[in-house]
Amino acid sequence: MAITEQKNRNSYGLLNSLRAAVWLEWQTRGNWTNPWLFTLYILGKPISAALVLVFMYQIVSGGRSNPTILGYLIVGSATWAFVDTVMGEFPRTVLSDREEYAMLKYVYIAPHRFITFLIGRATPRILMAAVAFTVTLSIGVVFLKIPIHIVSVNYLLLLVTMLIGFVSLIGFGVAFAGLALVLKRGAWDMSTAISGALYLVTGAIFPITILPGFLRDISLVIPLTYWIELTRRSVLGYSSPGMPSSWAVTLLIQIITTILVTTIAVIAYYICEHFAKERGQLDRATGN
Amino acid sequence: MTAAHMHADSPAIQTIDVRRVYKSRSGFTFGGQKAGKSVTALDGVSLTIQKGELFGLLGRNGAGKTTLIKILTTLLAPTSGEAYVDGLDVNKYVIPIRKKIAMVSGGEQSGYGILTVREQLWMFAQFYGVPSQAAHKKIDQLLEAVGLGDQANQKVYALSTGMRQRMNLCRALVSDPEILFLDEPTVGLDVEASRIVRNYVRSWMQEQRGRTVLLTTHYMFEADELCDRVAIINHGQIVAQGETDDLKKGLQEHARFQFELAEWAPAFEEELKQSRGVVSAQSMHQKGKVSVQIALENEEYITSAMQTISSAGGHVLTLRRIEPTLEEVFMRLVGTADDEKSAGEDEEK
Ligand SMILES: Nc1ncnc2c1ncn2[C@@H]1O[C@H](COP(=O)(O)OP(=O)(O)O)[C@@H](O)[C@H]1O
Ligand SMILES: [Mg+2]
Repeated sequence: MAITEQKNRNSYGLLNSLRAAVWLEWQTRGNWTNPWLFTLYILGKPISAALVLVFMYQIVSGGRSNPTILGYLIVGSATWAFVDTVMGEFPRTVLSDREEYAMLKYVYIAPHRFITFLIGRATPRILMAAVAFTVTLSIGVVFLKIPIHIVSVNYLLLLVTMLIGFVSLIGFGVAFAGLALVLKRGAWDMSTAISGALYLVTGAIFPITILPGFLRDISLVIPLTYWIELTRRSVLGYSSPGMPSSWAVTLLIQIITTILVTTIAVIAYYICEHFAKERGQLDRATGN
Repeated sequence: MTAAHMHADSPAIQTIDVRRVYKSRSGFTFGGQKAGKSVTALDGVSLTIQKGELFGLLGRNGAGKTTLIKILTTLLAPTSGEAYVDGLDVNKYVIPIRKKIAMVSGGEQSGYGILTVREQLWMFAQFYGVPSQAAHKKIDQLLEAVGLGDQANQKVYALSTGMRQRMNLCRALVSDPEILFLDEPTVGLDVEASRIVRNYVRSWMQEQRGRTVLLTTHYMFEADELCDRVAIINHGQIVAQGETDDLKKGLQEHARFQFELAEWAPAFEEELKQSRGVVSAQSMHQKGKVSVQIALENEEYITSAMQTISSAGGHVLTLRRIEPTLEEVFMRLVGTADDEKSAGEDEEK
């Protein structure tokens, strides 16, 4: 009797925990009194990043810009908003909760898995990034005439590839959170550096065919590459150089690489957590 | 998590020869520690704390108190030895242990500043699976009890240190833990806030039988006031443990008394020293009075000592037994603060 009660409370607790983490994230970062500032906060970086690319391209092409290439740039850049916003949130949560709020240890010793809490904290960011994604694409369509036709977008494919994409983002994010647990001050630089590298090798802004051979091999095992590709394909309707011509094959590879990478990432996270606990780093602030 | 491990009669906390060594390897550490240095924070700690005890762990800064608490709260792995919370091995039953415990540490400004006090407590209740309604009721009760009733809807960042710490105590209690770890909970608090915290801890213990508190402190009076039993830790080793009264008695190899005499009596000191059962006797003049301190092998010799004094012509005004304080016990066992420079001053800065 007492034991079943305990069990109920347990499973109930995990869901609650996830929900409370989502709520906390929304409160700490989304609770802006001024909606304009909040909009600027969500949209500022992704839109300016996209526009910088477009201007650079227009300068290089001498004003005779090709809508196909513009479309490539805008969609890739818009999709990247998810990576920046969601993946980066994981190490950010560890650092802020440990150093700014000094709450990490209390959250850590609650009877949930810390990973659940982290995922909860990153989830509202998907919503914020989705807004940035949509607005960036709209700007592309309205002002740059990129070839997106609302009726011919493959929404189902877009949805599926996005959902799988989120799984891989969470995977990478969880691994970065693990690094943040053991690397202290270095964690933030480390995850920015890695996400910068991913930006270059996943075909976000240029086709992977122009990469040197070994980098291309790397890009072919990263699920983000296929996610960005399928997002482009479902929105623009055409495939990019160096990618399988069949969307089904691409999707299959996305699924497989996502499973692989996410599994490795979660294992990596647990190894890091183990080391952090072993070394007594779970509640030490950076300065120590 | 299996029933076999949850004995109703297992101690609340048990450690067997727990050691913890902090190593800082070069290469992987981005912090400021020197490479290769290793610190033995716990050096074979064995303690047993029964359910229902308010147990004090006393020691100076760097003695290893926080390290022990971290091990018991699943924040840190022991280097060797065994540690159990409610009979559950801290290395194996992490989640089941976490359901039973809560912790508060002092000397820090913790809290999600942007949340209100109520929101922060509610969130923790959620982490422990307490249904919302029950949680809010509990939160009201707790806040009222520690004098934060008016602050429920105030943002955490606007609280004073003392208020934050009281909120922290509520945060720990909102999940109704069986075992509560308090790591120097009143450090840095003003007298009033400390008093509220101490009083509430005491009444929380009394509210329900079987609740257990492990309190660390370097304030001896706090331990003396709150704890049934204490252990004194120094350089990672338990140097004494037992009931506070026993420790004080144990410190006294001899029963000590102090007399005041109306006036000087010839040669009473010498005679006292000759008298049976007297270990030492010292007298001194103080503002026209004579005060005498004697140590006896055993308190029963006090009658014969009194007789010796009166037969030497002394007239006893007052007689008082000298009771040692916990502070004295501590000083005797651990030494003075000067020996302490090497032990971990780098922490908590
Ligand atoms: N993460 C750590 N890395 C290295 N040394 C540590 C760490 N934490 C504590 N220490 C050292 O271990 C010893 C015990 O510290 P601690 O348990 O915090 O003592 P107390 O809580 O009694 O003040 C100190 O010498 C301290 O400097
Ligand atoms: Mg301490």
